[in-house]
Amino acid sequence: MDFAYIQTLLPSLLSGTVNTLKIFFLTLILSLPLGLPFALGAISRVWPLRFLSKIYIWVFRGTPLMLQLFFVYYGLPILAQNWGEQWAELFRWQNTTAAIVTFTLNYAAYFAEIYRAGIQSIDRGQHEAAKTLGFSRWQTMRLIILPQTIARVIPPVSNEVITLVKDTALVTAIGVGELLKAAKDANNRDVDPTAFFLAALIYLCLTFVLTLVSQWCEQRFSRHEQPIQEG
Amino acid sequence: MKKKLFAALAAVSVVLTTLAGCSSGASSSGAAVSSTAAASVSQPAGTSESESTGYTTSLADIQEKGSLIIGLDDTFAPMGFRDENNELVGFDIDLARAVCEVLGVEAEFQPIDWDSKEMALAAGTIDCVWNGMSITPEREEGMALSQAYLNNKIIVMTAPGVTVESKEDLANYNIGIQAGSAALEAVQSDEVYASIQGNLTEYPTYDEVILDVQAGRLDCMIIDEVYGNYKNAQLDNIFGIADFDFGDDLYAIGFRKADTELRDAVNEAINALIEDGTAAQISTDWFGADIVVRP
Repeated sequence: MDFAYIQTLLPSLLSGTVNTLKIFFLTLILSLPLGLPFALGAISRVWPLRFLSKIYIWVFRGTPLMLQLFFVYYGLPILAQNWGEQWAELFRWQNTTAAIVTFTLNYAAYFAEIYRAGIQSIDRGQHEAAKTLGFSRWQTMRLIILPQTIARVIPPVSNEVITLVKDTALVTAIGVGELLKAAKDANNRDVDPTAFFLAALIYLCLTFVLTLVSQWCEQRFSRHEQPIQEG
Repeated sequence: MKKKLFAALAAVSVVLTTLAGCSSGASSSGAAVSSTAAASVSQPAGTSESESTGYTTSLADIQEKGSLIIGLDDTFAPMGFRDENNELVGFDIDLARAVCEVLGVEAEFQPIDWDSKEMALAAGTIDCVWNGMSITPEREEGMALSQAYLNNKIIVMTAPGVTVESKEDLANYNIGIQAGSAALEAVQSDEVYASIQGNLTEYPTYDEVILDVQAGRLDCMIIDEVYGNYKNAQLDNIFGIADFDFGDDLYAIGFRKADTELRDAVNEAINALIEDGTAAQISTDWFGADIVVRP
């Protein structure tokens, strides 16, 4: 390993990492809460809500993320031109914006399914018990079911979160420079694969930190399930 | 013993260029890029063979066996590639057929591994390399090159309604370009790069660039003339072409170093086709314009 060469590579790789992290965090902050209404919608007793939520989840889980990215970035403004230039202008988002919107919509669909499974994994008896104690449906959900759900969904959610870190590499398709693109550029320029190794190391560092965070969350949110310690 | 050494060199150069080619995107436009990248990497293999080769072919040999064997990378649109029926088509295919007709022989196309083209020449499995091959000092050293028949210069193509006056004027427009392309290299080594860097967006291939022109975000693209004109012809020539460019990239046909007589015969045939308008017709078919280089 040539240390001087690595030093020349780092600035471009790190600025790529900044873009990767920007898309990652904004997508996470927006999609984690957005999943919940769709999860509740999918198990709602109101059929139009249930129908719309299920259609949404079906569409966004059922098509490739890359295709969704193309549709939002290229497809929307091209389609909107049919209704006039002011509409096209409205949908002509910057590439980073389009990426975050698409990723948020896509990941919310996955999170919604994880949340739904988590909610339905809580014993039916608890709903009945809460009803006897005079809790409303919404109170039961908010005060009894959802707090227990959080602990159960953390492992599958962390799984998706780690996938999200790697999926950010797709955004080069719409011209956003990120970590993997920076590595490809360096390799193309210098005919030297060192940049790929460095990129792999950076991705591993990111997922390592995320694994630690997820472990901490798992412990924090499952305190009520741990045996009471003596002393 | 020597053969083993060549095989090892070839294997190394294939691995290296595969890595280098990683970033060049889709195969069609990517081939244009990797052909220049491959040149520098496979150079050691190329030079070592050209010195050791004893195999030669004259025009008489070709006419006796009745065919000229043309080596090509069959994934390089629009020069030579496969159509829906897996038939070889392209500008180079049409031009080569026309040249062979003048020479009175059949054109026989032999897909080769682009990185070991010098070896295929030396071994006699092909008589020439004819597939949008750029003239480089290494290739001039290792092969007998024909006259330049196309100039794949790096040009600026503008969206409908956009006129770019000069390189400096580019700073006022949103520009699209393919990542890792020869066009990007040319722009980066130009002094205007600093002022246009901020509005220059890189896409995996020119297909995405064209999509973003259609979506209304880009005003122009910087692209090599051959691929740009090919795409433009498919789009009924919606793009305009600016009056300036980012440098030349000349295409030639490569023969064995010793086969200068065959090379001269092919040059003469090309000039005959330029003379009688056939070359211009083939160019118009593929590029919507006559861009054949006159000697």
